[in-house]
Order: sequence, then structure tokens, then C-alpha cells
Amino acid sequence: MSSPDKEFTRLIEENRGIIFKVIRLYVNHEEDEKDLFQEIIFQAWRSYPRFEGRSKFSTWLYRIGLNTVLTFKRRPNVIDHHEDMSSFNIAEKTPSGESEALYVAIRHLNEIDRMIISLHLDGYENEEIGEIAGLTKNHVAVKLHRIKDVLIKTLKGL
Amino acid sequence: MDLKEAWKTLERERLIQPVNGTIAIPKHSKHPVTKLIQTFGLGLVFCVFFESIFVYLLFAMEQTIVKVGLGIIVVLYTILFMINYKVLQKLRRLHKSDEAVLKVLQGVHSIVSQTIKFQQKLSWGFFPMCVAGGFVLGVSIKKDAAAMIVQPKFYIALIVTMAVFTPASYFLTKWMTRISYGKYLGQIEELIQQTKGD
Repeated sequence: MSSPDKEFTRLIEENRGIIFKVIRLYVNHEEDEKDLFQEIIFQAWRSYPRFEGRSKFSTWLYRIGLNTVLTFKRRPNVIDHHEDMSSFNIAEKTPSGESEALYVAIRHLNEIDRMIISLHLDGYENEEIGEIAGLTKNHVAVKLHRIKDVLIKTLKGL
Repeated sequence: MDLKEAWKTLERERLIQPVNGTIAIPKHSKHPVTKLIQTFGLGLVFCVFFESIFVYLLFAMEQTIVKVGLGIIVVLYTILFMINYKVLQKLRRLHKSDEAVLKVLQGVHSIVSQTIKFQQKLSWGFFPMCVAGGFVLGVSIKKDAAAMIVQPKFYIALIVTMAVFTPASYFLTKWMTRISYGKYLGQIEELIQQTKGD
């Protein structure tokens, strides 16, 4: 394996959690998961010569992961429409119960809102989210306000 | 509920759990746009292959009328190659996965729509002409083409061939692109609207 290949593989290895996270937020078919995992690595490798290190590798990989998942031909996401919130033990006020409730609530958002809230909860600033999404900082703030309202209402209704 | 705390638990317990797959640099892509670009590349290879055959036949054939027919086909294939190449370069420039999400979505939308338009233009113009060229060539192999083209039945057959193949290739292309990319284009449009919304 040549030196750029090794460097790239090491960076992917270190940041693979980001790929898993993006896939888990959007996909629930095992075959799609496998395909998308390989596809994100493929698209990252193809774009790697343009990576200039102006942003962190993790942010860059997050962006590629999201772009790949959103523009990939996926099987219909049954979980988006039929996932029943009551099937989770969310009434229980344990960290696991709350996180499951949050997961289901996030999965009920549209795909772009899902991306914005996950970046926000991951600690990205509105400006960084704007750069990833291609929106202004103010537009992101407006969207986040609305998404949080929807999430809180959904979670309160449980 | 503290959303950030719940998110951390969610991340730990579910989101960053490994999915199947090995960390190796894959050689092939299943991404629709990458596939489109590969198809265009393959189209160029076929263009060169067929053009080489027609150029060879142009020199090998003796009848003037056949040479004229082949010359037209060679010119058409050269134009087709140039257009194909130009579109391919444009698609390659547009397809960058490391840009902002909205830009990538708009790029993918533009690539798919342009490809569909390009294929529909081809189905109206190039395919029927190539069919007609092939028809003339086919007729000329066994009989004297110069004698054939003065007969009215030759023109009737040629007109019928073009009249059948022109709409047929148009509707076939339209149907194939709708099956392959219609739903996909709709999904991308929806994502663009979701991104711009609020």
C-alpha cells in the first residue's frame, strides 16, 4: 500500500464512527448499510486529493458521508413511516429510554432536518453547520429553532 | 430531557456501533452519478470503436454512394463523440462529494436532468440517422446501391424505417430514463426544497 493510501486508511480508521453514525441515522437495511459504508469510503478516497486540511478531517468526512447518503439510491426507509414510538421503552426515564425516544423522534424528522439537528447535537456551531449544508448562519438558526420545537413537542407527547 | 445528554447516550449505545464492511479502498461505486459518468465514458469507448470500423469500411468499400453514406455516419459519430465528451467533462466537474450539501444536491440534479435531456435529443436526431445510415449500408452490401437508390421502394422503405425508429427510440429513451432516474430526480428535488425551506 502506498503512502497516501496508508494515510487515508489511517484517517478513515480513526474517524469511522462518523461513517457509522451517518449510516445509522438514515438507513435501516443491512444491504444498504454495507453498500453505503463502502460508497462513503469510495467517495472520500476520490475527493481526498482535494482535501487541503482547511477544516478538520472529521468535518470533511461528515460532509462526504452526508452527501453520499442523501444522494445514494436507497431502499424505501420503512422505519421513517412505521416505527412505532410505543415499541420503545421510552416511558422509562432512564438514559437509555430517553436516548431511544430521541432516536425515534429524530428519525421522524425529514432528512435535511435530521442532518442539521445531528450536527448541532454533535457540537457544531451554526456557522459550521451552514458551511456543511450550504446555508447561511441565520438560516440554520431559524431551522434549528423550529426543529427543536418539533422534537420537544414529539418527546412531550410520549 | 437534556437533548445533548440523550444524544451522547444514543451515540454510544446505537449510532457508533459498527456496521458491516471493511476499511479498504473500494474499486467500484454504486452511486448513481458515478455510474452515469462511467456510462458516458463507456459510450465514448463504443463511439471510437464503431467509428474505427466505419472509417475502415469507408476505405474498403468501392461504391461511391456507400462511401458517401459511410462518410455521413463518420461525421455523425465524430459529432456524437465530441458532444459526449463535453457532457462527460461537465459531469466530472459537477460531481464533487466534498462540497456543501445544497451545492451537491443541485449538482446531482443538474447532472441527471442534463443527461436525460441529452439522451432525449440523441433519440430524436442521432439514433434515426444512424439507423438510416445502417439501412443504406445493409442494402448496399448485396446489391448495387447506385441502382437501388433510384427505385421508389428504396425511399419508401427508408421513410418507413425512420418513421418507426424515430418515435420508437424517443419513447424507449423516455421510458428508460423515467424508470432509471425519474423517482431519483424527484427525491433530489424534495431534498433541495427541504434544505431551502423555512
